[in-house]
Amino acid sequence: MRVVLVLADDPAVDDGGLRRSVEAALASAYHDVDVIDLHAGDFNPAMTAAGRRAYHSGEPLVEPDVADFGPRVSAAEALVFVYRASWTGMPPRLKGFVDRTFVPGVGFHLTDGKLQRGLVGVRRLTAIAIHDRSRSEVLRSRDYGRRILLRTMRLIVNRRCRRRYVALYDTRPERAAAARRRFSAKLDRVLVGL
Amino acid sequence: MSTLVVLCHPVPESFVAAVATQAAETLRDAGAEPRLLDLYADGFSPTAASTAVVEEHAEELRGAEALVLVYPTWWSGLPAMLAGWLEQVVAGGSTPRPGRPETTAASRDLLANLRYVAAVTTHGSSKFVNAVQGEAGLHFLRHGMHPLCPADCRLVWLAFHSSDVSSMADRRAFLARVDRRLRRLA
Repeated sequence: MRVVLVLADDPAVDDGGLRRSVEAALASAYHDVDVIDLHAGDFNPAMTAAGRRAYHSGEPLVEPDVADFGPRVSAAEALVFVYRASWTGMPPRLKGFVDRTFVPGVGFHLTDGKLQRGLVGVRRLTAIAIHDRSRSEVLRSRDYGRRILLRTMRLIVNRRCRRRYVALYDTRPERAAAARRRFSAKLDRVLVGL
Repeated sequence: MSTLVVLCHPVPESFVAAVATQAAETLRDAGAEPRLLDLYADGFSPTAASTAVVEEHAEELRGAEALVLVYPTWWSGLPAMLAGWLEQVVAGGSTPRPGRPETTAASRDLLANLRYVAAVTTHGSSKFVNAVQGEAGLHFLRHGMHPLCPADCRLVWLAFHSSDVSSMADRRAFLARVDRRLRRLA
């Protein structure tokens, strides 16, 4: 399966080798992985004025830092997002990736205000999240990061897309050991079985 | 009542910018001392703002009795720029705090003077499509940020739907609605 792996974890933070285990799981199943690391290079999460002006023009990816994201996500059969939650949702960096990449002509097509799917080749949506807060707190705020990645995105991918969410909550060291084991096991299962 | 109006849109001639101008005008007219903060014009960095800038914005927020956020809803949520502003200014940065974050207290302290938070936002698609999409932005404000505000702080939600197919009359009507609502609050 052609996988586009979008990394929005925080490389400065020890998260128990999350990035390594995600990449290892994908490699072990011989998936064809294209990594988009939002911390590498000069990715700017904020939509720019030029990008916004070109939004409805048919050629919306005018900025060099996002220019190649369009063809890359269009070629994907699976999208895997890895992030460390900010508050209880997506970090700004990942939201910026979504804002700037899934634009008309790439993510969807707009005809008379009606939305048409753009990523019909994408049959798997997977979000992998690390939350510093407890599960109840995340659920209380309706897990809005998950909502965007797995529910809003549903409108633009293949109709029969399978969606999976793998999350680790409450990363306090004394709480995390057993939860972390379960998290890793599910992570392997989901990624190998894409 | 001193009011902080935060505008988040990259294009100065956009409808969202016009909404912010209208909001500031209404508030000034009503004697609510608005201070307009234009994140794009100020060149705010959503992921790496300097400590001095963050502190300056935090000070403004601490002194404000009302907060008006004016932004476009993209992908059913807040734009990355505004999310980055809230993360750095209100939540005190992106460093992880396992379990119950101690910054909750700092955030509460920062928002302690607020009597209302208003979100004035545009949606490209219809109200129905947004409901299907999950209204992540609304949930963030209602369940993520509003609980950090004082108990008597109100949350006001002013949404403009279907902006992709809106007419000039629809937009004027929304500006009038923003004017009426903010005047009542001020």
